[in-house]
Amino acid sequence: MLPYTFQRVMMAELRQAGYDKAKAFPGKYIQPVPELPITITDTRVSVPKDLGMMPGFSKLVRGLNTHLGIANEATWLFDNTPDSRSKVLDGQKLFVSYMNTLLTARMTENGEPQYFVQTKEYDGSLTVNKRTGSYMDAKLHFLVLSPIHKNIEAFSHKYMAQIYDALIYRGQHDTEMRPLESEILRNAISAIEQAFPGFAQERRQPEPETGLEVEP
Amino acid sequence: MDDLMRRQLLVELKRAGYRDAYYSEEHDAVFPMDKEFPGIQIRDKEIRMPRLEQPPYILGQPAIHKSELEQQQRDLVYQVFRPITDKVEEMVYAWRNAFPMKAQDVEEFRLLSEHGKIVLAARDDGERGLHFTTWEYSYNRNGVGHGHYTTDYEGAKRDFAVRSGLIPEKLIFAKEELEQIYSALVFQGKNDDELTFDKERELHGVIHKLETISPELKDTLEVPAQENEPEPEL
Repeated sequence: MLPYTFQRVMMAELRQAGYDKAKAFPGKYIQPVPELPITITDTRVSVPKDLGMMPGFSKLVRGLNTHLGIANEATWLFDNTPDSRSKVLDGQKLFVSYMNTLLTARMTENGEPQYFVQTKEYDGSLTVNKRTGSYMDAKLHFLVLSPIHKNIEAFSHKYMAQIYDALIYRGQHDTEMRPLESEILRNAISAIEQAFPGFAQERRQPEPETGLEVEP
Repeated sequence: MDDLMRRQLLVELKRAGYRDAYYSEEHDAVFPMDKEFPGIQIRDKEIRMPRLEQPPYILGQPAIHKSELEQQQRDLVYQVFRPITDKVEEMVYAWRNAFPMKAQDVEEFRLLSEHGKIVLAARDDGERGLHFTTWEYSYNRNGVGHGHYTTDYEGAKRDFAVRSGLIPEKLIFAKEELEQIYSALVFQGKNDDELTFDKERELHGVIHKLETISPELKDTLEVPAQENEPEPEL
């Protein structure tokens, strides 16, 4: 079963995460990678049993499950939030507001979800600070802009990618790390991977070393 | 000074350990300390610092230089009192712009924010300042339940963000995790020869942001052992 709102929201999340070839079969399921028989419905990510043994596969599925959670959350909000009657919001749905910062959303004419993080000005007008197709991205931007959680300031999407890169680099190259430090590092990496499953796929791969072959 | 601002300021100062803080009607200002720096006044929109004089000499030597005292006073104002007043201003602004809750039996609370089924609200408890809570709406949204109550504003906002799903709990890094993240960024900056110019600039941007959030992170880096050990004499 694939509800229409969920299909649109999930497709947008997948595209933002780099699954450009993701394909939806209306009313049935979504295939994130057409070459692989993985299917997504609003309740689960289904994988054939024999594929589960492939290396790196569990990480891919974990990432898809994270997207599934985010998409379900956004779908619930789309379905249960009435269109705003305020003139300045122009029929958008107000998901959350704090002080002068608003997180709103709407479905565009071609059915794509769009999220806005906006600031209310003194004259009552709104200034759009962020327009995105990813709900997770919008939420983080909202937290950054509204003072709900100040420590997240450094952790918007762009900075988080840099932090993730640095954590992986240190994990690979720092030989003087103590076990406790190593454990904390792993936890931080896993937390970021769960929130931003796209990072693990985007990570730069080490180049194969050449010229190290031993000559006979 | 606004009544709520005054009460909340005193609550927050006392929570931060300034138990002697008091309000003076004559000056219409809050005096956070009455011993070390009794002249510091927190007013409605500003913090006033008095001009200091050279402390008395002891045996012909100054016990402390005037410039050091001034520096101490500046540190105190900008690193301790300014963040407290900023926080109180934010709380008071949020309270003033909020509407009373419509749910049953909680009309004395004001709704600061809601997301999904979770609501962040506050109540004015008089001299004890604002009291915050996060609740879950009932099925028909007529009532609320499962309240988490606190007087800690930052804690209430964090609880709201996590409960409402605005941020995954794991992404709120603990102090130790922040230290490790900071160390990793510095380590990569020092050792990664393949960093491009743009990447390096981004890296420094994140390091700078982390240092702004927690200035004490700089102290967590271990000072490398001195490499130039004296050579043994032959």
